Amino acid sequence: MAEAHDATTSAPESSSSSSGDGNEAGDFECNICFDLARDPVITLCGHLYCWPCLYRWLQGHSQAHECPVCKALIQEEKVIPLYGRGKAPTDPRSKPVPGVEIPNRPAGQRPETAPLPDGNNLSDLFLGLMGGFVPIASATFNNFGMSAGFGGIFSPFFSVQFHGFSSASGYGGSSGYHYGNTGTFHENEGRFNAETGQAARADDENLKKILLVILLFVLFAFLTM
Amino acid sequence: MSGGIARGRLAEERKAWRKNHPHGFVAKPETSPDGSVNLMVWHCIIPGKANTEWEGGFYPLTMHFSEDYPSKPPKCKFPQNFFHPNVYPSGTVCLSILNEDSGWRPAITVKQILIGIQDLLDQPNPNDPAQTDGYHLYMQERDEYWRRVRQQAKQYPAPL
Repeated sequence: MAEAHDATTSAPESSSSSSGDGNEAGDFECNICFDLARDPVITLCGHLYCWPCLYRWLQGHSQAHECPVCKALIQEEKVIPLYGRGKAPTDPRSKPVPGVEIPNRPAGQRPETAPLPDGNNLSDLFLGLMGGFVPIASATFNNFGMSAGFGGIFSPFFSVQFHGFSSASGYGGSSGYHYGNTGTFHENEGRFNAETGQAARADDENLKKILLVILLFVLFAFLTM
Repeated sequence: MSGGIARGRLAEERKAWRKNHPHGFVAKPETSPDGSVNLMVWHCIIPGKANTEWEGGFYPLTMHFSEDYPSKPPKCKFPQNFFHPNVYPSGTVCLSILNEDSGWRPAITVKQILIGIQDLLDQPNPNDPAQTDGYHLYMQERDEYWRRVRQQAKQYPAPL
């Protein structure tokens, strides 16, 4: 007798999960009808249902949309449909069930495809931004000379520093550019724009300058030989 | 609200039960004299837990499933005037997991219900009394309460 009861008390643990019953299909059974899930959907808490089963449960318990397994909150639009192979995403089996209108499953949410690992996109963006800033950039670089050329990635930094400095000393006027409100221009917006613009410009310019420098070195080496 | 899940689910419950169920428990759908099976009513037996005053009793319980099952829980009934603080005079079991508005979830199985009720036998919930007799004795005359429990256990001996 005692063993018998031991068996009964240990049973709930082993049976609490449907997959623990030694049922191979258990992993794919609806948690409501216990049959193989049709129009399968999965909740954010990971529980699998037939969409009609879940929908009916959610409709019947509109005061609190709880997961029939774990009572986690369920938002209908956040339920994820499972699309197996070889079936149309809108399942033909979402046939009308007598008495209840079961709408189609919520559609899958499709994140963007991964961006191409291509640097050109970036430089295009920068080139676009650069357009309006040519005067600034050129002004900066003209004054900054070779060090900007060497600067590589640091050059945007330097130029911005420089730029803030120069605009205070009447940049707006001298460039003839229409930053009428130069008073605030250099503080935030202006600085940011200048930075991005110059970053792009710097890339181009730096390349040229590096080439130039190399040429100079070669020439210099030649002369000193 | 019907939709016909109830019978399919009950068929699955029956399959699962036949494959594996806790020892000493019985759960089977009603069979009418002509041999047809009514999945909507199950006749069950819950054994009293070992090493409790309920041991030795095999308590008959009837589960009535509605067409809304498993959205709604089955109604579980012991015989009328069953002695237990949380059983109504009608025999209906008062248990949170059997309450549509509190603990019931469609994923709860027949097996889990029966085991839940077995636990309830030995661990009544004094916050939710359903009959005066059992409740008062449990609260005020515990010795008499246990005597009644043991007496009831003898009233429901092991099935053949």
